[in-house]
Amino acid sequence: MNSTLIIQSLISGVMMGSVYALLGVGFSLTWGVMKVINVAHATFGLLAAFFAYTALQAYGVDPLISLVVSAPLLFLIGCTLYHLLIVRITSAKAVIVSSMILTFGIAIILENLMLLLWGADPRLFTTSYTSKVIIIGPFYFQYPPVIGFLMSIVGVTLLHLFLKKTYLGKAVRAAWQQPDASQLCGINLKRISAITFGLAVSTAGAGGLGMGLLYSFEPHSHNLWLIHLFLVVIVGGVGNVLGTALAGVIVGVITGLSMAFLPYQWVNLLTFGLLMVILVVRPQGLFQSEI
Amino acid sequence: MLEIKGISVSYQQHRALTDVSMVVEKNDFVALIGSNGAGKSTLINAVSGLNKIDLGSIVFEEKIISNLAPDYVSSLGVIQVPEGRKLFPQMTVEENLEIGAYLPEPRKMYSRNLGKMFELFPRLKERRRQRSGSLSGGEQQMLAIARALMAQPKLLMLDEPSLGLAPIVTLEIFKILQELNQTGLSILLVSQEVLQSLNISKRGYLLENGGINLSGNSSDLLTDPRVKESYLGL
Repeated sequence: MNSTLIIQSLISGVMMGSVYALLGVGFSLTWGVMKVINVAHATFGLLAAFFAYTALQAYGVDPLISLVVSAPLLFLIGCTLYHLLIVRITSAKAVIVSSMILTFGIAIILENLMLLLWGADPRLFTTSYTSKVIIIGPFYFQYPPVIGFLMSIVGVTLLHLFLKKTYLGKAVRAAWQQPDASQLCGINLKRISAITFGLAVSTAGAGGLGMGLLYSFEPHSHNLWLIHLFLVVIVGGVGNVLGTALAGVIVGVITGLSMAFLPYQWVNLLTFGLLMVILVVRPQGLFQSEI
Repeated sequence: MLEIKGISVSYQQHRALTDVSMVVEKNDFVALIGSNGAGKSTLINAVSGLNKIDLGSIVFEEKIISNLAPDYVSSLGVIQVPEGRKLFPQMTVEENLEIGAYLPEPRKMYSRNLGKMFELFPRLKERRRQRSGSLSGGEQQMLAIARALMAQPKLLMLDEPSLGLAPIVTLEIFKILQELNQTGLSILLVSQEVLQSLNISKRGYLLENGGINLSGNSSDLLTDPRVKESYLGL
């Protein structure tokens, strides 16, 4: 076997996987700490991709610049959504199931909204650099995955630092480790929940944009992305930000390698076969859950 | 300082507290004693706002605090050390103390109070970078108390701080509580350790089957035949 090809597919796998990781960390966070499975997570990512697409087509705004607007906007949307809808199911007996049903509804509404606004045609980002290639020795790297990779490194690192180093981030962790005790320390649980949800939705925007850089997208794309989200979060350990990120890379590498050496129809079979094995052997995920 | 006036609390259909009244004065040290399931935790959780009350009222420094949000009650200076300690297990000792000082006023005094806590509990200083989940039971209880003190309480309420601890550690913790009271802190101690809590407190209330059956000076309660027979095994 050609070793250059192996290394090449390994590296593209890492890059591709890092974008799954970026899309996955927020999903993992709300699921793990709030017990809210946000089925609309990828849908919000897709929304950010469409937003960037329009900004690029109509005004020539670079997709990365549009994120400066869409990420804070998604944060606000997430907070509002929490206060309006999610908060109503947090006292339900089965929060996980109720949250899936509720956010499924949100996903359907958003999907149809996107169909209405942008139509069903697949879209692709075309900027001055999307077709450029970096060549290092025998390896070549396309620009979009490299950008997605860098976005992911920055995004996941920022989220990790926020949770571990800032006062508010520590309050988020405290609230989810011991909800009652955190309130006794003066933490407002509703406010922390809204922030957590807003933050997750906002990282979805970055992840969705990354996905848009890698693949063409249309209003239904979030369904496929969502399946990968489940895969990445279950492999990485629910609620574990760095575990989810690592799992994204692992899944990316497996997909990358199998794409290089296996017929296309085997790729998803292998990836999701792996998910089943992990569910049987280590249902808690590969990495210890920690928030 | 704290006045509980005829409160009743229910869980679904079940009435846990009926017409309970008690008072904690400024600089008081009150022991709330009673057997398991008498409703002691229900009572202090009602004060903290974690339980809602059906009837009556809870007044702290002339302010009605019943049925208010727990974080708001804490911001007034009513701080609880919960039963089972409820530390943040994945966070370090120091991070736990940081969250203890989450409210705006305590946060300004964080470094000063942190130094005080390390003076009061030197073992916490040694273990400041260790995860709280890895501490021994006694150390965890000390951390739980230190975390509450970081919030600069006016009234400190402790729910079963001696649960699961060796007698010598319990003694150590009760001694610290007494010292804190002597420096001016008002304390409400909930405990099954009837003899020891009555020994260190000034006044006591006996809670049985969801109601206060006896109250008075701790020294008097210690010699009360009902207390002696049912709780001291004398």
